[in-house]
Amino acid sequence: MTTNSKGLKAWLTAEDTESPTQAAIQNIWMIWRRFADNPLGLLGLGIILLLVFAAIFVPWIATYSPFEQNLQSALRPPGGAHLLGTDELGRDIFSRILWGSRITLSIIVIVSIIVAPIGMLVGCFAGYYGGWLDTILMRITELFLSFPSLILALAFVAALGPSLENAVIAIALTQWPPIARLARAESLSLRHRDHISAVRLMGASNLRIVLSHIVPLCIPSVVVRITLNMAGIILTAAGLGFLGLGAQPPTPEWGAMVSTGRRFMLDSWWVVSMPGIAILTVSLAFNLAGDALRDALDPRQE
Amino acid sequence: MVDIMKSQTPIIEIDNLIVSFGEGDDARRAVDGVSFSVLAGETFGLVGESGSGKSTILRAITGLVPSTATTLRVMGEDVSRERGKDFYRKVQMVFQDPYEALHPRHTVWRQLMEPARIQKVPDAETRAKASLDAVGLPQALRWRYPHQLSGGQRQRVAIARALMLKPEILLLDEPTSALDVSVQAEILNLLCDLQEEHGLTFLMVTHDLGVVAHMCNRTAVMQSGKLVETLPVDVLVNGGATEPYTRKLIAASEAYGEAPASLSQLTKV
Repeated sequence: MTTNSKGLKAWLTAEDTESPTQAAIQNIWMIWRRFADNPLGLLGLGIILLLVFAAIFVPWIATYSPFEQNLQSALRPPGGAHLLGTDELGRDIFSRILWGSRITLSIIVIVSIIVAPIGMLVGCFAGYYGGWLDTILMRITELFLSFPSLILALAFVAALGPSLENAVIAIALTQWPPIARLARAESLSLRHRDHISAVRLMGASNLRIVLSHIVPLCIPSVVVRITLNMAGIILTAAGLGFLGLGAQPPTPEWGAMVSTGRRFMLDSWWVVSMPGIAILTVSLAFNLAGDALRDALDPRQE
Repeated sequence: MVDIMKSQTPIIEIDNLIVSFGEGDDARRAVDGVSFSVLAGETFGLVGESGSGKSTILRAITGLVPSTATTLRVMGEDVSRERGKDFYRKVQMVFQDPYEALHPRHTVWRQLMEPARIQKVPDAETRAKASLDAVGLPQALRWRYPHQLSGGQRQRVAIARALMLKPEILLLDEPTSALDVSVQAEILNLLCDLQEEHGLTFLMVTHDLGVVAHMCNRTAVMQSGKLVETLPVDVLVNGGATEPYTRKLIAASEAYGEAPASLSQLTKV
């Protein structure tokens, strides 16, 4: 294989693929090409990458400690030594937002890791097997769906005690049912398709059919759904933080920052606005990227 | 090609097969008391219009739809209730729409290896290569995905996959109706060659009397879930059908430009 860019391009688009790795990479390349056609999606992806970059390199980027108080420079407007101003205790808002990105990202990642497999397995088994298993699993799912998610999260956090860990568990509990429903709908439509029948005619067990044929086909739509849900996860986390049920002070969580800043909103707008803008930007970025990803993964375009 | 392998041992025996959909008052019999048997090495056709239950019979034999039957035997074994893993080594099916029948996100190679993995076939890779050769596909195609193949190539992959387990019987569910006319002939000829080479028995569903004339030894005509008559294809082609429905079917296909008279020249080469 040649290493210059022209050779690489040819390798990526070659009709006669030589190895399974090449075939898989070509497939990813096609998805990327469709994703890259969407400028807004790229913008979203760019913001997400920036967030990840920021979260990894905070200690080197942040100009101040997120906890260091300096009452003499409290409520300074943006500019000068403090890029985004300071809050009521004189802490640098820019640094706090940067440190907050770690919290936001870890909430998103942990919730997604908990939610995706649970939702997908519940949904795929319910959809494929049908009958009493479907009835039981879906009634449980509906039980969770019957409450507004923020109320349910509030109830859980109130019961478990306010902390960031409990907020994460509470958000995960409210986020899996929609995934399960989606996966169930997908597997319901898949189970009578001929290619699944064909696998049954090879003598495959039901377990094998679900795990190695139905689940992989559900993954794209679940990934898209979770990406779109991430905005909701961020907002719920911020909401819990705002209500004092998520991260506790002095943790620089964005929602909690908005909450404490609202007392100074009229005189010092930046204390509320800066973390608010951060929440808005990141939620929007996940939505844009999710939309583009849905278009890119849509098999109907093939 | 017809008479060489014909034997008198029935390989599929079906007596009073019933498939119903729906429950209670809504129940509708898609297959209503059908009986026939297929002899080892022959090609048996099932013809009839859409909705007459011909495809459902194939699905009932393989257990994809639940059915009841007085007798349902494949190679002498009763399969009316349960089908073991072994059953699927003997019987494989080729579906109507080759795009639907292949897993959309698996490469050709993976489609072929899947049955071998499930049945734990030892020499899987050799077999997969041989299967590709048998259906006339170049080995270079094996890392492609179904959407990168033409309709005819997809159907060849589906046939190659069915051959992976070295079955005795192939159930063909309108294997050419989703393909273009020139490709249809290629696939039919391929099937004939494979039958000769591997001594396969075909049970083939079709609505195309031309295909029946080209491929089959005997055929059964179906109408709304019931078997109207079973007759040798020579008789059908020479206008010997006795049942009025069969005659109507022939007349309809003649009007469509597929006169069995002209087909009789095409058939026995």
